[in-house]
Amino acid sequence: MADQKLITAEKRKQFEAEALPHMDALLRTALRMTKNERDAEDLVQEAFVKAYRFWDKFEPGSNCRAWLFKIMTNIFINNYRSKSRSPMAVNVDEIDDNFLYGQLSTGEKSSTPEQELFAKIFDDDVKKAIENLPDDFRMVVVLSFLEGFSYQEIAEIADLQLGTVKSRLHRGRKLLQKELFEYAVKNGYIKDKAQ
Amino acid sequence: MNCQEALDLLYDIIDQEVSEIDEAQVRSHLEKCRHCSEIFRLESSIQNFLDAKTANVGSSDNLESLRSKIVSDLDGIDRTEMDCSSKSKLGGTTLFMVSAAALIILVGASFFTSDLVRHYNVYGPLEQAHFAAQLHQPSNSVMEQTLAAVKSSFGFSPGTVVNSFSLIDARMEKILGVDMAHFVYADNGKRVSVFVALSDEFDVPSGLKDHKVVRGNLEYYDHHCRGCRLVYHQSGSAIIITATEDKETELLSFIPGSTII
Repeated sequence: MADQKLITAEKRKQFEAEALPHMDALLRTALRMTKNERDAEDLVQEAFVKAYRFWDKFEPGSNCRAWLFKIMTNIFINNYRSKSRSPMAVNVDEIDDNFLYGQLSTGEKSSTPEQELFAKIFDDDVKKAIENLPDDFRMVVVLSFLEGFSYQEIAEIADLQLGTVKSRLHRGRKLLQKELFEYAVKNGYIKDKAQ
Repeated sequence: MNCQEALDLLYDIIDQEVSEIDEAQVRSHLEKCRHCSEIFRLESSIQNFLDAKTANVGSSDNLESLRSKIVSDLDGIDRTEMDCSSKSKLGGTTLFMVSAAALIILVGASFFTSDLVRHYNVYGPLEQAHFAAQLHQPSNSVMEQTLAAVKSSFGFSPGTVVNSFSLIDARMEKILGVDMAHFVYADNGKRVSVFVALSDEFDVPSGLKDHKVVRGNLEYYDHHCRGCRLVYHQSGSAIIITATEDKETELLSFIPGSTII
C-alpha cells in the first residue's frame, strides 16, 4: 500500500511540475477557441483531467505543451465546436491574396501607410476579429499567433496534414485582414478604394 | 526566382518555416523587385502588429480558482487509484493470512481476488477503449466504413442521434480478442461508447448473468464499477455494450439502434 502511495505521489509531483505550468497558455487559447470564459475553463479543466489519466502515455522529455494542446484541441473539436458550421461562410478564395496591399499601397517609395491605421486599432478589436473567424481557421490562427507553434506542431496537435495547416493559416490571415480592414472603414479610419 | 515563386513563400518566411537556401533566393528576388518587396514589407508589418496585439491577450482573472478546481480533480483521481490498489493488496494479504488459518475463509478471500482479476480482465479492456476514444480524432470515411460493415456483418443499425447525444466517431477495434465496432456518442462533454460484437464471438460475462435487469421488453446486464459503467444487452445476433463514466447519463434508456431482421 505504501508503494502505491509513493507511485501516485511521484506521478502527481511530475504532473504538477511538467503539465500544470501550461495552464495559463491553455486557458488563453481555450478562451479564443470557445469565445466564453466558462466554456474555456471547463475545457481546460477537462483537458487536465484527461492528461492526468493518460499521464503514463506521455513520453518524458517530449514536448509536454504540445501534448496538452493536442488533448485540449481534441476535446474542443469533439465537444465544443459549434455544431452548425459558422454562418460566416464567405468564400475566402474571393479575397485577393494581397488584399491589404491593394488597399493601402500608395505607390510611393518608403511610405508606411499601414502604421497610421494600426495605431487606431485596439487589442480588443483584434481579439474580436480572431473570434469571428470560422472554427477551423481560428484554431490554426490561435495556435500559430498566440502560441507560436510551428506548422508541424499544429499539424500534430490538430491532426491535420501539413498542407491543410498552411492553407488554413493562409486563408485565416486573409479573413483576418479583411475583417480588420472593414472595421477600419466602418469607423472612418480609412477609405475603401474599391468604393 | 520569379514573383509568384517568391510570393508563394511569403508566409513561410514570415513564420520562419523556410530553409536558408529558399530564404536567400527570396531575398535576392526582393532586392530586384519593388512590387514583391513592398508586399513582403507590408505583410511583415501586419504580422508584427498582430503579434504585438495578441501578446497582450490576457487569459483570465480566474486562474487561481481554476487551478484549485483542477487540483481537487487530481486529488480525486489519486484517491481512486490508491483505493483500488489497497483493495487488491488487501485481497492478497487476506488470502495469505487466511490460508494459514481456515479453509472456509480462504474460499471467501479467493472469491474476492478473483473478483478483482475478473474486473481487470473482463471489464477493464472495454473501459480502457471507452477512455482512449477521447484521445482519438474521428474520421468521416472510417465512420462510414464502420457503419456499413456493422450493418452488413452484425445486422445492426445504429442511429446517428440517440436521446440528446449524437454520433461523433466509429471504427473497428479488437477488444478482448474479438472484432468489435466502437461507436462514440457525445452531448456537451458527456460521452457514451457503444460496442457491438457478434454474440457467436462474444457473450455477456458469466458473473453478470445473475444480475439481469428487465425494462419493457428489453433485458440488460448492468455492471457498475468505479470509473465506468457498462451495460450489456443482446439484440438479435449482436451484443451491444454501452459504456460511460458520466454518472448522469442513464444507460438503460440509451438505445443506440436496432437489429435489422
